[in-house]
Amino acid sequence: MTDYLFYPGCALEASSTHYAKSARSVCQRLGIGLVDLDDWSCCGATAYVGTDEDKSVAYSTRNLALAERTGATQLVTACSGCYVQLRKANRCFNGGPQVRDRVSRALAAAGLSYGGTVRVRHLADVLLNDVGPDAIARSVEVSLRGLRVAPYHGCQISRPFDDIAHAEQPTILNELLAPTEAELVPFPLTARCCGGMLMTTRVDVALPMAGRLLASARSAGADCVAVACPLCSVNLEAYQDRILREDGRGEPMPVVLFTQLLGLAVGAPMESLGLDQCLVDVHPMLGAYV
Amino acid sequence: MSALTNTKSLSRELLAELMRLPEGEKVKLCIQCGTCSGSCPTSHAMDYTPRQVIAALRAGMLDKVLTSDTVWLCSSCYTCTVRCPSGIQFTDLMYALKRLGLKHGLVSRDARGQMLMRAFVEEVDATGRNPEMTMMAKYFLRTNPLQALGNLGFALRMYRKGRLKLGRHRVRAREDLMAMARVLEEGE
Repeated sequence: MTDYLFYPGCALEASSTHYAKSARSVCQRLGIGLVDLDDWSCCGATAYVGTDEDKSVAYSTRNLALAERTGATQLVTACSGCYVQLRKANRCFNGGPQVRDRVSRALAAAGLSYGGTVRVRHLADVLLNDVGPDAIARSVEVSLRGLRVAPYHGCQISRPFDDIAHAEQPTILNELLAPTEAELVPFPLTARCCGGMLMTTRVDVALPMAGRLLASARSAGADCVAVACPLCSVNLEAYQDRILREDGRGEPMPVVLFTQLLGLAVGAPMESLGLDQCLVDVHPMLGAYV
Repeated sequence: MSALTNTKSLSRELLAELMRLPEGEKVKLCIQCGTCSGSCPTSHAMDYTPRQVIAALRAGMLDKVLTSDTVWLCSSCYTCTVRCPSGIQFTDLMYALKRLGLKHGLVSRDARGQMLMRAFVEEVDATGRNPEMTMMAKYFLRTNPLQALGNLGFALRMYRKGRLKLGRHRVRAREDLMAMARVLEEGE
């Protein structure tokens, strides 16, 4: 069993507890332990960067410093937002003396120092590139053959960093879900934005964005959309009533985390996958597999 | 200081901020091709498109951008950033503009983006994390109390699904976070 230091992030402790549960469970089945970073704090998310860059970077770097202090060389997160923010903190910190010196002084006030050595990774990257599709395929106990899945990558798993997945045409979720034998439908909008935080502040702008994604998945014949980000998950699920009402057509589309499907396939205990926590009932779709 | 000098100083300030950030100097290489505007999923709703934002920076007209519906419509999808042929980190530029507006009290036409950010920052400063529930409650009560009431049904649904946490988890080391904040505030 290989242990990885894990950064859950705020959403996985609140609106996406089913992501946290299923991530831990699928990792356990695949021989990976996720050990929580003790007393982690906010990643300095999107909303904080727009207020105070240095504080955002400093708060984010605090987590990297805590990770480094444990002797870890990597910090894994499942939230695409935290993933980008923590990586950007590394880039700013290592990018030049101006930011590094300021942030280092702030860290010193907390009794911390950071050497810039912790590599931030997305859970999807760890599962694909450390565990690997062959090992996942060998662990599959329940084939998801017949289930039509639209893998939705969203933005921050592949942008701006463009390395674990292609910035325009990411396929990392397809590669991860392929061993389950589910049918992965063509989904051209897989990397288009779900609306992000605008779903709260400017629902008039964000609702059509989420609506187009769901319509595209539906027209591709998908039974469900699989996501890798807590905000994508909420945006695509929570506003479906309204989207369907305004569109005047279509059936509700289940939205699952990729870890829930993977967990189902590798035989993780059902109660550990949080499938009941999805807002659109997934049981009619998954009836044949559970 | 005349009004014109004042708006030019906003451009100078933004440039100085960008020079601190990774690849910030690339803003000077903008060729006004409009790839950013064409790629942006929300530019249709902006008063000034991303390409026009850089034009306004050069023309010393950022005050117009900051008081319009523009920067708070950026959803941080980073499509402009990965497509820019000059390598401009445009999403980071939008963040820098958000900070510039806040600093100078320039409120965008629709202030809801700024209100949400304020609620977020208050919660993180108080607890070290973002307790989603109290942040959203604050935001809706301040912007649209009626909508807050309308969202109670949704909140209840999330609660029943185990996806709404009541109360706020506080980071044990929040004294440390406050000490960090003090150092950064002193240095300004």
